[in-house]
Order: sequence, then C-alpha cells, then structure tokens
Amino acid sequence: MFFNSIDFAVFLPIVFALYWFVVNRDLRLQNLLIVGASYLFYGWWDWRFLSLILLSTVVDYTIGLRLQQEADNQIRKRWLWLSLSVNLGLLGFFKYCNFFIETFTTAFSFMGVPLSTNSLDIILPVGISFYTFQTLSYTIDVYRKKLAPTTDFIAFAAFVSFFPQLVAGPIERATNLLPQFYKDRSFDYHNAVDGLRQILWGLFKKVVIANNCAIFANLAFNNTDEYGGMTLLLGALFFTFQIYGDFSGYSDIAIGTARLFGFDLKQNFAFPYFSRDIAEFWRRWHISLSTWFRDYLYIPLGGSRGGTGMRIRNVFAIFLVSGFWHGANWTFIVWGFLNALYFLPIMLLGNNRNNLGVVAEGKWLPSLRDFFAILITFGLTVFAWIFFRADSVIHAITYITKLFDSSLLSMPAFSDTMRLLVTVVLVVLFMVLEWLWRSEQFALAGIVRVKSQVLRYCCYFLLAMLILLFSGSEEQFIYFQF
Amino acid sequence: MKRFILHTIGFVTIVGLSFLALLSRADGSYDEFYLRFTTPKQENLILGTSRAAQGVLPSVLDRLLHRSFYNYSFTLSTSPYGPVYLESIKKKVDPAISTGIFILSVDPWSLSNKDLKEDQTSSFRENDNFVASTTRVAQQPNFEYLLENLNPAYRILLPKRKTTKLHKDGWLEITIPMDDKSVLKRTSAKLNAYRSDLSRFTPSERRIQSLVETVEFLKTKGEVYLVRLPVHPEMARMEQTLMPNFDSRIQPAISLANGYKDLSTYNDKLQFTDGNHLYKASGETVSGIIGDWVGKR
Repeated sequence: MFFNSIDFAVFLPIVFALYWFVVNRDLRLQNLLIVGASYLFYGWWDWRFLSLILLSTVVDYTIGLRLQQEADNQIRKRWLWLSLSVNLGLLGFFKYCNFFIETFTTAFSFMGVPLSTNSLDIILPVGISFYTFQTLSYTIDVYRKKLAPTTDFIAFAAFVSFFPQLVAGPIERATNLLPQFYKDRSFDYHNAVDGLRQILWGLFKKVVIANNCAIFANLAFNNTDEYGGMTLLLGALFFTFQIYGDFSGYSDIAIGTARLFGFDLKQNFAFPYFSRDIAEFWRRWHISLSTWFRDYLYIPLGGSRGGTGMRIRNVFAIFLVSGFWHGANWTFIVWGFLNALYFLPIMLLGNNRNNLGVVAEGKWLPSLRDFFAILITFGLTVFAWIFFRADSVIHAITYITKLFDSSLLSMPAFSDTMRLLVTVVLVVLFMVLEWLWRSEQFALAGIVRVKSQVLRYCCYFLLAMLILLFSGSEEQFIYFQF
Repeated sequence: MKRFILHTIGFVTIVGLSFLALLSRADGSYDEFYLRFTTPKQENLILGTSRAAQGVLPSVLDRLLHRSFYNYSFTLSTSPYGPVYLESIKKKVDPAISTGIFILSVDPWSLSNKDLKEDQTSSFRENDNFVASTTRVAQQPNFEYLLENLNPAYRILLPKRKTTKLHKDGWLEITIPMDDKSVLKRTSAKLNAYRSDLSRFTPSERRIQSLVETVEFLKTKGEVYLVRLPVHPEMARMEQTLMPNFDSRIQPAISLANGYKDLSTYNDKLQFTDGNHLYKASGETVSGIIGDWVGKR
C-alpha cells in the first residue's frame, strides 16, 4: 500500500478511528491493532512476505529473552550470531543472491574458467533492508545490555512491523521506539495537527516535487545516448531533487502518521542540500541509517580512533557497506566509494565536525563562504547521484562523459517545455521554503510562526490543491526497492 | 479529538469540493477523449480508431441522414476491435433503440495483434487503458475518467490546445500546418513508423471474431455499415502486405452487415495530415460519400 494511494487514504482513517475510539482503553489491544493494521498494510503488496517479518519477529524476540537469561558471554555471543545469521541471511538471500552469482560467474570467466549459472527467480520483499536493520538494533542493544529485552510479544511485533515506517524507514532504534509501545498513549491535538502538517508536506515533496522531477530524470537516464550535456546535467539535477523529495517525503509521511497514533519517530532528513561539507551532509541525509552504521559498524571497528590507516579503512568500510545496503549493484558501491573519497580529506584534516549548527542561523542569506561551500557540496552530491541512478557503472561513465562534452552549453532538449518550466518553478519554490524554515524539524513546521490563521490555512489549501493537481503521474517510492 | 476531526473533515471537504469544481472545467480541449465519456447514450454511432475519429464528421451525416450521429472512435492502441471496445460500445448505445445506424471503420491494423504478447485475449494491448477502465461512459462531468486519466490534473488550468479539439459530437478536429513541406515531413515520419512496426503486427482471428460480435450486437439496435476509409497509397500497400485478402478475411462481418464500402479508390484523391488520417476538408468529402451511400440503401 503506497502512502500516495486511495487505498491508504481509506486505510488510515479507519485504523485511526479504531485506534482512538474502539480500542483506546486497552494498551494491548491498541498494540494488537497496530500489528494487524501493519500486517494488512504490508500484505497489500504480497501477503507471502509476511512470513519473513513474522520469522524475524519470533527469532529476535526469543533471542532477546535468551540473551537476558544467559550469563555466559560465549553463549550470549552465539545467540547474537544466530540473530545476525537469520536476519542477514534472509537479507542476503533475497537481496544479494543473484548479485553474488553473477559476480562469481564474471570473475571466473575473467580468469578463463567459464561457468554456466542461472540467476534465481527471487522477488525482493519490500522494505526488507529497513525492518531487518531495525530488529538487528534490538538484538545488538540487548546483547550490549543497553536495553532490557521485552517480554511483551505483541509490543515487540508492533515495534518490528509498525506500518508508518515499516517499508522505508526511518530505521528506528529499539531504545527509542519499543518503550513507546509500553506506555499509555493519549490523543494530543497539537501533536496530531503537527502530524497532519508533516504528512501534507511529505505528500507535497513526493507527489509534486519528486514525481515531476522523475519525468525528466527518467528521460535523461533512460535515453542518455540521445541527449546532449545540458539536458543530461538537468537530468542529474532533477534526479537529485527527485530522490530527496521522494525519500524525505516518505519519511515525513511516516513520522506524521506515527504522530497521529501518539508515537514519536526520529528525524530522518535535516535539509541536507544546505550542507557545507560532506560530513555535514551525512549528518543530515538519511540520519537513521547513518547513525545505525555509525553505532553498529563504524564505532565497533574503532571509529576515528587508531592510526591513519585504520581510520581510512573504517571510513571506506562504512561508506561501501552503506552503498551495498542500497542495492545489489556495483553502481551503489561506486556511489559509496565516491562519498568515502569526499569524506576522507575532511576527516583526516580533523574538519569533519566543523559545521554542526544550522547554516546562517537567524539570517536571510548565507555568507559568501557558506554559499560556495554549499554549492560545492551540492555539486559533489549531484555527481555521486549519477552513479546511484545509473543502470550500470558503464552507463554512469557514459552519462558523465556525455555531460561534459561540448553540448553542455546547448539548449536542453526536453520536449515538454511547459512541464519543464512548471517543474523548475516548483523546485525553486520548494527550496525557498526549505531555506526559510531550515531550523525546523521539517520545513512546513515553520508555518506556525505565521500569525494569521487564515494565511496558514490558505497555505495548507494551496499545498493540498497542488498535490491533487499533480497526482496524475504515479511513481513508486524509490527506497521501496531497498 | 472532536475539534481535530471537525477541522480535518472540514478541510478535506473544502479541498475535495474545490478540486472537483476544477475538474468539471475539463472540456474538448483538455484531451482527445474525455468528452466522449460525458455525452448521453447514443442512437447512431461512428466507430473505429483515430482514422474514423478524425475522418468521419457526424455533422455531415446528421445533415444527409437527418439524424444525430456521434463519433465514438478512439485510437489504434485503445479501440481496436476486441472485447474491450465491444463492452464500451454496449455501454454507449441507447438500450431502448432499435432503429439506429452504426458506421464501423475497418482496416487491417485494427484487426491485428501487435507483438506476440497479444496472443491471448487477456493480454490484448487495450486491456489496461481508459476505454477498458472507464465503466461510466455517459456521465457529465465524468470524474471516474478524469481521476483515472489526469496526467497531471493541472493541465486543466493551462491555455486551451490549438492543434486538437474534440467536438461535442465526438469528431476530433486537427488544425495543423498543411503546406507541402509539413505534410511531407509528417507523412514520411508516420509511414516510417508503420513500416517499422509492420513486422510486429499479425492478423488476429480473435479480433475478427470480435468485429463479427460487434456487428451482431449492433444489428439488434439497427443497421450496420462497414467502411474502409481512404489512406495514403503507401499506407495502403503496407495494409495489403499485412492482410492481402482483407475483404475475404472479414467476409463473416460483411455478410452480417447491411453494407460494406471500400473507399480505397479515393486513396490518391484526398488530403491526409500524415498519410494515415484524413484532413478536415477530405474528411468532410468522405463523410458525404458515406452519408450518400447509406442514404441510398
């Protein structure tokens, strides 16, 4: 079930009404309703994959309890490894099996040993990378004794399958989300209104910004041979806004929906395109994944401690794994590698924590220095996104080669000029609003500063109308494939 | 909670009503199909693909046959003869009528499958398009069509199109430059496109059977006439390659119908916008020929 679908528009009010009016007096029933609704939400795509969520839930719930009961560290470690094996095994099989088969076949052919292998007919379950990491965080935290294991299976099942963030995050930590399932939840008007506001903003980002940008990004990336440099440059820029609107839009809808049910999810995007260096970008982009890798991979590997060699190794490890997490394709690995290259000099010079605050806070415009820093960081990001979006590394190289040929100064060749202009205007408007309210959790939250209620409602009305007016072209959320 | 629900319902209602009000602005300049799903059920229809949509003018037939015709033709990819188009026709025909006149444009393309993937009725190319999905074909405004096919909806707010206009009687008027150079360029492009697609098309017994079923159904509602509209001579040659024995292949439908007229004798006497579609003036001429022929029978 997509957030931007009629199905969800029917589903959400029904679950909301049952949650607050029918089962509101019993916490366990509320949690049970969340589990049922979440399984329905997920099963809407393919009910067969519910078995994977159920397996993950049962395995990690059981292992969590075992970890608490067991005092012997060796045995505890074995339980942890069992959890890692089951979760990462499922992920590996469904997501990476064919990639490894193809890579081995190619490698052996390269060494003069041709192998005849067939790819397996495997369908990738929606959101498997997200809920796998979420359940892993639980087991690891219990193993590290940072979190007491739950004895409430329903609460745990609700934590694993919580429908707002099940298929594309934010990847919640058990330490943040699980305790919320133990507490009585009461309806809070302001929290719910804020949730709706965030849903509205998320839909605007997805339906208006991402879907429109997708049209031109798809044209450029699907017909690279036919276009000149300027068109390809625009294509890359459109993809840059598409992926941001798409993914952060999903996160906004997820966080807003969770608020309607009295849950508080972590911020996942913090205006990343206003970052002044790559380190800041990674503190602001897909925060739940970056911090996951930081806490469960980078720091255990030694983090920024140790010698230069070890620090370099750790940086590459985290970025390459992050790239590989996104998909079984060399393009994602190159994307991760590029980001590691961008990050490395900043870290080695000790400048990776230079830009921690909001850029030009309290000012209308950034300083020239900040402006150029933002521009350079943005440019580097756009370049890396080309690898992320391309079908193969060869495709990305062809794209970049064509982008920088003499046709870079030619006119863009997109035929639907009207739609192109409308999209550019919308993207500019979007970025202006993001800039104005960049110190908020999400841009539209800043509208509460507008004193006139009429003006605020006019803004909501305009956004809602824009969403409806642009709702014709349907695009799946990009991050569902991860 | 009460305040939250009231505010939310109020807001959603205002937005929804405003959007529906905006949608009801859609007219014949919005797209090439919408109006055909907004007019009442009809007694006399012109059926076929875009050739008929542009080339047969209901107004001319109205004048010659003293009744009101409606052009319910779409395109080659959306209304070739098949179960989907037949279902839509059944919905558009006035159920009470028994003295209607139905003019069906026939040609090899609309009786052929494109690619092998169309070997089953369930995989026909038109199965997933708006002719198939629009269940209400006589509703004004037709929100079902608009909500399914607005892509994107903001186009309703844009200035009216200058090149295409769908008239209230279903005729699709095309206004484009008709100087020799422009016509040659479009004709060359269109013929090349069809030439490269020729090997992908295969005559379909199932579609021919559907044509027969369409004629059978319409015969219960009145008289049925089949016409083969004129095309550019080069297009006619391709059609000859695709279905060399066209008339004999559709003989079961011809023998059921009240008449069949092959207008290919006019292929080199008329003006086409692109080799496939008749230009307005030629469409008027051809409509006059059809009207006279039907009137005499």
